[in-house]
Amino acid sequence: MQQAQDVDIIQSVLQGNKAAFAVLVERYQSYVFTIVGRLIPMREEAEDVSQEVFVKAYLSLAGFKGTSKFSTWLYTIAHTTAISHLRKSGPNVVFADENTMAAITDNRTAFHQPQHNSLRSAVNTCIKLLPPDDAEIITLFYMAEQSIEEIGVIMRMEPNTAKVKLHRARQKLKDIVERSYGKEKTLLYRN
Amino acid sequence: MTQEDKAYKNVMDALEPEQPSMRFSKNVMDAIEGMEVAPVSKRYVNPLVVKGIAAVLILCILISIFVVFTAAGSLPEYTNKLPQHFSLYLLGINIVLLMILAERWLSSKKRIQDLQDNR
Repeated sequence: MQQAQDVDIIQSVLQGNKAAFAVLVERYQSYVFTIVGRLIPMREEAEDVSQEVFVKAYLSLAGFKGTSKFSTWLYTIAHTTAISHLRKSGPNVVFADENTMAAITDNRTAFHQPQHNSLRSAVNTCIKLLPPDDAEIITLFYMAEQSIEEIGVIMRMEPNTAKVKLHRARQKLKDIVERSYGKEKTLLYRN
Repeated sequence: MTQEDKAYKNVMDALEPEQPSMRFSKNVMDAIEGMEVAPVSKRYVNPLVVKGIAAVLILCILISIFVVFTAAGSLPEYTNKLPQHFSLYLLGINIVLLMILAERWLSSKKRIQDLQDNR
């Protein structure tokens, strides 16, 4: 249903109704921003790159063949733009390695701050502690509702590789939650 | 879906994506103000050229195989040092490689079909 609406909007934009593109921006901005944000932690930088994603999408809109969902096509642009940005940024961007992340989570800072009093923000914080590609794959699967095949297309990997990577990312997330919650780890299995 | 998968799905469903600044949409629309959708670019390489090159390469391979099998008696000395049935082994390896290539091509076709079905 959403895909049909997206295609109608795209047709409208291609026929010269530039304002219709704002509907697509409104619809997908938070997802694109979140996906880019998983790779680029600085908020301002992530926002600039997200804007670049939509500009690129607009310019190449005529190239969208409709062989996949519009969201998959857009998230592929988001992924490649963020990766290119990181390559250009070079050594200025440094991600924490697993030991550093473990140390961070051991301190249980994630859950002892007042703003992290809800399960939603707690899990969100844990996702941010994952390595960027793991955080991205978790976001694509659970938040952006992309299938394993679609994630394979977005992240340029075989579906089986994406499946294994998602499983490992989920395991790492579980470890971080357990380390941070301790006895409260069962919180993840409620609802 | 396993129990753990369901549990994760439940927790993750409660999550919401992060929101960019309020001006995000306006900034994008401002950025594309003077721009136009780029026309679909033509393919850089004519597919006929690619198919032509592939045909020449396949022809070369076939001629080589034919020469190896028909002119076995007049092959250079060093070929005698090769293991017995070497050319057959080589042929076998090539067949296996062809099968791997065909499998990859078919699976990529299936992936594209699955994506179209999931639209």
